[in-house]
Amino acid sequence: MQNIKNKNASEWRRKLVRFVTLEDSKSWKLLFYPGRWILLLLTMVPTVYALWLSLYSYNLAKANRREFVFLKNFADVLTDSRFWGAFSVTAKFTICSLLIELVLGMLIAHCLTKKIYGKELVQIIIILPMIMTPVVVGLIWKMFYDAEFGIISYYFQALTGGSLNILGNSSTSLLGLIIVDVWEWTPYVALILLAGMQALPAEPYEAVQVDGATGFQTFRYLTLPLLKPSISVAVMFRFMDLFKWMDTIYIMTGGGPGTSTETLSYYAYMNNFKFLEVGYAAAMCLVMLVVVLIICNTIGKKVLLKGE
Amino acid sequence: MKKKLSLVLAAGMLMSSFMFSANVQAAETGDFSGMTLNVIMQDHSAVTSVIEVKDEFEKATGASVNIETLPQSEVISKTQLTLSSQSSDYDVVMFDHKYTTQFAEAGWIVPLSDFIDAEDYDTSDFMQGFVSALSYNDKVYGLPFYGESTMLMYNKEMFEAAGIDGAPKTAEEFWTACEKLKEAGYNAFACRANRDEGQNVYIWTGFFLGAGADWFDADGKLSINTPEAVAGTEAFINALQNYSINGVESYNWDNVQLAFQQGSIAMAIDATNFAARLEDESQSTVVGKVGYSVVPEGLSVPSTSTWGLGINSASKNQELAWEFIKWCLGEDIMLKTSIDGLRADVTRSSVMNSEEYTTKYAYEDGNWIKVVIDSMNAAPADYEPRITDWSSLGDSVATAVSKALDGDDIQSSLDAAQEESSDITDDAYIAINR
Repeated sequence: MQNIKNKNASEWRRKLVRFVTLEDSKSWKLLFYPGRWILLLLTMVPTVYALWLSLYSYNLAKANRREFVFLKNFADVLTDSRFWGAFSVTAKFTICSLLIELVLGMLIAHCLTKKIYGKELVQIIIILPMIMTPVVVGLIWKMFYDAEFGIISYYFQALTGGSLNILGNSSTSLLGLIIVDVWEWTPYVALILLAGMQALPAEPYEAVQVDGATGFQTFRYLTLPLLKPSISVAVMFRFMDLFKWMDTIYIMTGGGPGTSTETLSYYAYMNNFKFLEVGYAAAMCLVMLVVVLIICNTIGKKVLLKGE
Repeated sequence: MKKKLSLVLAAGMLMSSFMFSANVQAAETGDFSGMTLNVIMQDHSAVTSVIEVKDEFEKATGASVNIETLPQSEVISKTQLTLSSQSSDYDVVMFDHKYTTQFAEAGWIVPLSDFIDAEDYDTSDFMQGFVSALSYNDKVYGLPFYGESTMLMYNKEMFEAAGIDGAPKTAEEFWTACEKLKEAGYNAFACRANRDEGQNVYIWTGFFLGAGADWFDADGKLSINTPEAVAGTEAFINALQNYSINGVESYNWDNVQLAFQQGSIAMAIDATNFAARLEDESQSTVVGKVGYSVVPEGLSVPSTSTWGLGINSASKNQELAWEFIKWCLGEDIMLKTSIDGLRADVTRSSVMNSEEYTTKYAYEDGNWIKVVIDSMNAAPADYEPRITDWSSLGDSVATAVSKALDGDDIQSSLDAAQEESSDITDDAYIAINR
């Protein structure tokens, strides 16, 4: 009896040791636990909490501050004209920045695949904007843009004699922000595309050369299709970032003049942290989440999977 | 339940402060040693001058004091979040008087009246307008740290060059001055005009009230799109669109101050305490050339604005917090910091009338102090209404004014703001202000 017990115990211990040292065939599961729990804590819990919050009319500053209203917040969000204004600002901003960044990024990446003197140095220098804090970027560009004391206005005035007021005018303020984003994030797109280009196989290029394709044809019919996965990765990452961009806006324009640079994230921020309407802000963020999910899924399925 | 709780709390506080007052001597020799007091304050020249001498308080009590400072808009958000989550991260909070109602009604800050009554603390030396701006339902919730009003500042050299004789006293004189300055090639006027918290609305309100409008009508209903409101907004926008500096649409107060210091603008309407920075050799090019005057009649009215110190109701160091507030706002420290630092916005009459103060801040041969006092006396207590929903109402108005300045129709912008804030109830205003 004692013997069997001992034997069982030692067997169990042996198994455990094998499991923990990853020698067991099932022990791969072990590797997933930390990640799974961290993911659950960091993403699922807040999302579910936001879902719960969004069903309440919940203002932090009111005495009887929480009241169950079911889907009223969502109905309010979808009929809020300021929300749709912010939506259109976000859409304009995202699409314009994305297109410009892709084109410029492609050009830069293309140049960097060539043998140029000092290429390594250029590669290091172009990532500098990326590693700067968004708030600092905002402050620097705000100074550049300043209508009276800024360097851009200074040269504009010296060259044309006219005056420039980029951030103070609703027709140009969004453009001003797009320029900042392009300046900061084009290098990132360029680096992703560069990595993609460098990984392209050499054989097809030799083949088209034999067939006598022009430079543009090579790019249009060979490089572009082959680069599709890299492009969609770049688009997806940039899209997610652009969609939630607010820190630089907060510093540079505060959403103004009027609401001309008020993006969805900024409006959600205002609702949550300024007006303390937590339930309403949660509903708005969930609507944003759905939009991001739909668009990313479309990009992912249509482009990424098909590419394979 | 809530009442009971607050009664118990109040009783507790009363008792402890009795015990404390019997023990004051001990306190000064280190009753609080080892304790840490966390304070959140606005990033402001008055605060900087206090931070420089805080070790005096630390030596007297044995406690250590951490003072965190943040800019105007951020400090409000962070304080609101800390208080609403019942966190004891900060013991002493500094807040804009417009938030007194919100904070007090939600029970986030304790009534200082309990401490004041318990030891018969004399508050009569504080300018009473500020104390009442920080009170709610007859209880004092904060004591004024700094207080200011708005005034007209003008560049005398430019006025002379444009052939204008003295400060404009009426709306008519103001517009004539604008026209003359423009002809002489100057940027006539600037004020804060972007839509951030506490920016365009702060100055716009003067024009709004100056044109005879009011936040609420006789029935207590929100009335920000009346013909008077439109007229006031028109004046505000006219001054900025036609007589101002390029890019003024994105100005906040420090841009205005810089433009004035650099001699880029001839007139500004802004806080009374600008004077200290305009008359400082190390940062200004217009020292001694600035004239001060009460805002022109019929154009604008002077503002009331004060930031007070209160105690977080979740704080575990409330006695120490009260000691800190008393020290910070005491006559000695207020006088000392205003003489050593830049503090042209003191809240004690005794300090403002003291010889040292009037000697140091004798701008424009003493006229500045006279104008400050006149402005404060003329300022309506509810320049901006102290209601719980101030942040969303303020933002609606700020957005509307910013849109109108950008060229949108004034009436429809104000209509939109009225519509957006239509849920702000009348009884809120009546209960607090009438």
